[in-house]
Amino acid sequence: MDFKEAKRNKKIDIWVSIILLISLLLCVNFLISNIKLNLDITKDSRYSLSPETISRLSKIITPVDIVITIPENNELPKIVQKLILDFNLLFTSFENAKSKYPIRIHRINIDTAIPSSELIQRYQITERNQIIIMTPTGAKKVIYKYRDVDGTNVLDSSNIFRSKDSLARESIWESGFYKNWKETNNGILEPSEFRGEQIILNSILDVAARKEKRNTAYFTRGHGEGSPSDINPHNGFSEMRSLIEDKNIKVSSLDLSTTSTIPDDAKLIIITGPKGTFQDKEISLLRDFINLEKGRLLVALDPIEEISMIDRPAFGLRGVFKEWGIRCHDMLIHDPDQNNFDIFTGDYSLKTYAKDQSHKITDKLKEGRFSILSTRMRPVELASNDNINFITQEVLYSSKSSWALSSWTNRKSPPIKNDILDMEGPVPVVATSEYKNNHNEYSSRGKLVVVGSSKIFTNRRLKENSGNRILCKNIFNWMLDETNLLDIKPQKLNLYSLNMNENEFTKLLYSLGIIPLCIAILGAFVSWLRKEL
Amino acid sequence: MVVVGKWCACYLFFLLIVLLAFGYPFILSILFPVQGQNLGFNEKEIWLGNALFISMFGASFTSIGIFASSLTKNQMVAGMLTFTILTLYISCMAYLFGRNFSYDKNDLLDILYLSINSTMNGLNKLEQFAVGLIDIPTVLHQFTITIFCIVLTTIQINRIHR
Repeated sequence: MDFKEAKRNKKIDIWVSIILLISLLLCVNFLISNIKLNLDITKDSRYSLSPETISRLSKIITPVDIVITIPENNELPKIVQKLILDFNLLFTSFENAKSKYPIRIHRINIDTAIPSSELIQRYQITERNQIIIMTPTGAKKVIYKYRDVDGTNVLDSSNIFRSKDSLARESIWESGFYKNWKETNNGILEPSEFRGEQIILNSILDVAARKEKRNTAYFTRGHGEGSPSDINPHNGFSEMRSLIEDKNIKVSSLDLSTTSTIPDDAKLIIITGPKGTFQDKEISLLRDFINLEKGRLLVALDPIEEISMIDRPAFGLRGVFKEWGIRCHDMLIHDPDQNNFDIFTGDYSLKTYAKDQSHKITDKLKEGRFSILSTRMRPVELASNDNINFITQEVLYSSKSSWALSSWTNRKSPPIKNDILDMEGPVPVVATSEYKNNHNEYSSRGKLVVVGSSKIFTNRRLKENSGNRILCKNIFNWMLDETNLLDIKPQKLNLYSLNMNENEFTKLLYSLGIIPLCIAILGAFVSWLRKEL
Repeated sequence: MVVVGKWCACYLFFLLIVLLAFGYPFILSILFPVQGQNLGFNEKEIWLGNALFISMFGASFTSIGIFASSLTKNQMVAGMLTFTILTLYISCMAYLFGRNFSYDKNDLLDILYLSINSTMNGLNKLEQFAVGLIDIPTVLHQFTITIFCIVLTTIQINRIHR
């Protein structure tokens, strides 16, 4: 072997060792990337999942994909950025959790993502600003939807001024991810507890755990009711439909007159603003559904003008209501006080809640002082029967200045109060009833909610008024038993703030100069030493 | 040994600078204890998480610097080379920030991309370290990069001195 060849061999040796080293690095890194281990060094293991969550995750029967399509950037309102950060920390824990099937987190920017990518194709993801939990079996639940709306124009007199940040804050408050909002020194409400773990676990179990067969909400038809497929921006009910679908419940319609039984998959039946009377057979089906099949019934009835056309009160449903301790009158709520009407839309504003009683449907509305907008309404009160088997409650009222008019089509305008026949305000508008032993799994009784106006749930009011949206969501949560979240402690959040007066700030500025000053002195000393020695 | 010694000296100097940087919040919490507490300076896990993140990345950055300096005898060129490599490295991390990658176990290219991606996505983990949640794979990735650069430097030094 000559020297030339030896030199070449040495070169080859070096390149071979470099290539081997790079391969080794890639292999080791690949192995490391498969390790899913986080060390939570916080005092109370704040960012680790609770043992209950871990044990419940073993119930899932399919892999779970959590898809986040909210693009992270600094232009998002601060509160949304905070929510995303809290989610990121939580999702890491869920991703690393030991469960039978993997929980995968995907962050997708809809604007730049490749439409043909496997994930987008599989789940048909098209909407941005959402956090969705999905499974390969097709189950899906939207857990958060950020509506990127600009604040209203200050100069627009037809709207109340709301900044973008304030709208975002309200939407997050409404989502329920945070609780115990506290006012900070600068007057802004900041949350102090994060309920993400509970909500996400519930949602994961909803879509990925073994499911009950009954997962459909049926809107009745055949009596002139509102349709869930009506997308009319004012009077349609498609927004109500999407609120139900967000809960992973299918929506369909049902003609009770042509069916002999309620479908097996029916969990909830909704009657929105009928104009015709229900027949005995239909009423019997509804009665069996809530009494024997643990069904949930939501009835929203409007006052009707053609009294002569109606041969039975409350469209024939009075009997069912009475059995459940509720009474719905064919009356009209009248309020002479113009202050109770919304100045922009002319809608009647309901903001009176039961003072001493709390109810899962209205607690949040009461806390946030939300009002519910509607048009004409009828009273829905508790029947004074002695049926102690039901827990009945009136949850929302018209104002004190209002009253309910009997035989209102024949009354003069403005009407004069008839102390004998009319009903004194505040008049109840929404009432609920449930069987006392409802939480017993052997109980076959369901739940009933009666609302004195279907207009509360129309597209325009659900889109434009937070109060209506929260009321609608809470009614469904209560009916579908989603209010009893698992007993997992919410995560405490730290509120960081810096408050200083001018003197303190000046003192801080000078004190921050200590370090550079020390370095400069040290430098000068070393320089002097080098010159001297 | 020479290479390791040089890296250790370099790393110690880096840690000294980091220590001085940590002096600012320390001064604030000494002079203004209430404000310090409001900013969370009393939470040890935050100090520990941040210190670990900086020192970990400092280790890999200094090892890259040592490798760059072994490629040339000129200090200026070595410095510029270090900054170029580090800028590229940080750019890759910034590009991968907020992205995640699902891979096909049967696709070799996917596996290769995953190993590069997971090494480069350190910035994604910053928010975890900042609150006291230590991501072990990130620590290991930085450790392997440090070792890789030191070994690469040793090979280069051996090549020059043969």
